[in-house]
Amino acid sequence: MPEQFGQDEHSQTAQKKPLYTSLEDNIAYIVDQFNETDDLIVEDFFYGKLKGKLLFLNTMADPKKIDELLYNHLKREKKATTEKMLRATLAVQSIDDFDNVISEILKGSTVLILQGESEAFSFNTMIERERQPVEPDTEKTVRGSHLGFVEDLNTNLYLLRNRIQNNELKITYLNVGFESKKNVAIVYFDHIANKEIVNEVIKKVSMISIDTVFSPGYIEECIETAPFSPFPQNLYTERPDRVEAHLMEGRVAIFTDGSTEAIILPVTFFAFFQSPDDYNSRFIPGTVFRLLRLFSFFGVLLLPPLYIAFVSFHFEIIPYELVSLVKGSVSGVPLLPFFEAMFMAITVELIREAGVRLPTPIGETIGIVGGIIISDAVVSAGLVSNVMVIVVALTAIMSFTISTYEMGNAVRIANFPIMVAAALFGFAGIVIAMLILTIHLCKLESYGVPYLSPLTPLRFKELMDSVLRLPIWLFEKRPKDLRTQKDKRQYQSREWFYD
Amino acid sequence: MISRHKKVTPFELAILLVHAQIGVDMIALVNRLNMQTNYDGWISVLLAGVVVQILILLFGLLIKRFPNQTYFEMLEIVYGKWIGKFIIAMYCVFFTVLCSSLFAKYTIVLKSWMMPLTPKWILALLLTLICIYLAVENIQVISRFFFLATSVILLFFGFVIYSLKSGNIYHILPIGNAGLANILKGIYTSVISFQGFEYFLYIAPFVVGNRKQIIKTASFTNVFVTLFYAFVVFTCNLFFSPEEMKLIPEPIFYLIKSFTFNMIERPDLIFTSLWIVLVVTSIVFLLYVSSNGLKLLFKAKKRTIFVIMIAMASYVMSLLLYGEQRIDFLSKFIKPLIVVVTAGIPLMTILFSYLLKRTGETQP
Repeated sequence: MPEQFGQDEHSQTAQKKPLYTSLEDNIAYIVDQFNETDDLIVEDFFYGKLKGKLLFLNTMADPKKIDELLYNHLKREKKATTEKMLRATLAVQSIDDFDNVISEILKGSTVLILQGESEAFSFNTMIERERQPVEPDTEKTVRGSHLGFVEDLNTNLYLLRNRIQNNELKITYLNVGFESKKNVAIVYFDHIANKEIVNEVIKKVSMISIDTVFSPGYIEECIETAPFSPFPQNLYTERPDRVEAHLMEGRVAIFTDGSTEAIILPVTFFAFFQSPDDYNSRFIPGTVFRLLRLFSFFGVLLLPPLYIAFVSFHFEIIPYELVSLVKGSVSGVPLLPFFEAMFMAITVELIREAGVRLPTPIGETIGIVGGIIISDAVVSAGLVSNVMVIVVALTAIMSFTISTYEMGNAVRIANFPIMVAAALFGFAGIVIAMLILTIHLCKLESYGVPYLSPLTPLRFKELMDSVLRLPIWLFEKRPKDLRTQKDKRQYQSREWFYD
Repeated sequence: MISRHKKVTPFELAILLVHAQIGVDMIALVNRLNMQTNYDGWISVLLAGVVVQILILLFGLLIKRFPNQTYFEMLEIVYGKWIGKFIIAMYCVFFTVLCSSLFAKYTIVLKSWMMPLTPKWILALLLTLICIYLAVENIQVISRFFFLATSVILLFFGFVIYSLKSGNIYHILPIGNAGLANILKGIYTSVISFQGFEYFLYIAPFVVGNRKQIIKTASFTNVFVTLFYAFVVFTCNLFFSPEEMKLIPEPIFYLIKSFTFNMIERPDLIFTSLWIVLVVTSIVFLLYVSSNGLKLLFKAKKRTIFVIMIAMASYVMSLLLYGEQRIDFLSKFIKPLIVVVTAGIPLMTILFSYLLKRTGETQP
């Protein structure tokens, strides 16, 4: 039973305390629980025969809404019987324990406690102050939808529900964090997604016992299968269309309140090289650009190590014309090729890291200073050969071509050990390092889905959709390794062709 | 109960078997064959393939009688607890020795082709660690990696086809010149390179599919491997004259070395590095099979510790074995043993299982 596990074990209100019958006791208890904070407002409430108190946080509740919901609505009612009247309003909820009262107040609701009753009523009076959905900066597309998630869970789920109008779309809410509760929504298609995978995700998320979920990274780290792997196993996205596509294939999305990202799982290696843009236009450019991204993956991993291996071990392998060219640029350089490469690679990382957090104008300046001035000066000073600068710059560009930020980072980090191996053992070192990397990728599995699927285990047809991007009407089935309940996704969309 | 995830499909079985056979020995086969058969080696290889095919069909009888057992479990059932255990132990020892000879050959080739100055213990250690890293995994993960490694075999295959264009047909004419006796002797030499085909007995219960499918897969694999070997031997013989052949221990690499391309002057360096992949796959399978034997012997739950033990033992032994003469000396013992282990004992097991009327249902 996931719900009983860890959830309330550490929370202070493990036993639900029912409300007292005395109004004064109730108010005293709640005010005490809030440590007499100044923004907790307690107001008298009179209506007909009814007497009570209103409680709300004036930092969280909207006074206009309180007016509208309580007084305007109540004034219209002629006969004032307690419950009948209160239930008439839409956003009202009856509560009978302190635990819920407190969490309702914290959410921004207004709670009404009547005299002589051990029941409270909460009205949704939350201040709505949300950012408008805009296009996410990290996942821009040329064509297609330009909508991105925002920091509010409800808005995000609205965006999703608005795209997918299907009663089978199921949302499971979980509360994570015992100091500050965060609403976490697990979204999936009930009739498509594999039940085992869904249950495992729900179980793992509900087992998280942590003070607060600061970011979706907290959830990701707690639920991923291989935490020590350099490769990302969950896909972050800020795009509703991307979430929709993945849900349709039978995956699960996790939304956290307060973050603009959805986590999609279980994903495979190739999902990190896809972009919604591939599907926004025709299939030929989509295929070419996707192959370009996959090629960049190998380029980033292999270019600097190959350079090191060529220059320090296997000069004989490159043709004579190239030898004289490379040798000419390397001959004056005092550093070993390995340190040359390390120096440049670290410089690129520094420029990136410095540029990321700075305001755009300064970031651009850093880019120019770092990219153009340093590399030029470094070559003319004779510290680094100009071929090396080309190699490292190309590597950096390639790593940013990979459509997912996480995968780009993973590859650039994996690059360093391969460079070390190349510097130590030349070609054999590269092969050995690549072997370890490949074995590692083969070993990775998330929720029973092999990371390298559909390449290995080979599913030829799916490969055509994940490595290439052949026309969509060719793919009538969902990925097999996701073990979905509903296999078919399409029935001859181009039947007219055969008429 | 073997869980659903941990099974392999017949296709994956084929991949596993191909890698079990094509490996370290590939590069030296031609040279060894030529000692006996001059340039008719490819006929011997084809005939050896036929012999192996007969063996595969015979081994089908074992799977028929023991559908849910691995080979080691069959041994325990057929020969009884103690003799069975003894044979399994001998198998494991033999595999360890075989493994160490592979390590040693790999080190020798790598040192002579690419890295004459790198200490041998480092080269062997790197290989050991990689093999351990993969061999501790279940058969499914191993097959996933082997599938990717198949690209290396195809690359070699492609290169050999490419080199046909500069072959000289007169090198192998007249066909059959070596004489029937020598060609038959060549069968014995080349059968050793086929070692690994019998591994389907060890993983048969983990394959999704019935006996027929398994035997079919093993047969297809055998046809592929036979043709591959025969083709390699044939091409190398086309390329090098018999006199040249006597001087070169690794004909394939010399073959590759003789070509240059626009962008790559020395393709042999690339291929020697890639050959490491094939060494890894052969050794991993050996480790997988032998660690399973030890696991059964000690009734352990996990193989990890045995994989590490066997790999480290082979590593240490390979350092002692290092050197052409020592390897040749060891090969003299290994060759007949390979025939005993891959063909003799399984055939005997078939015989005994019929004589003693012991099948998979019999309690050991």
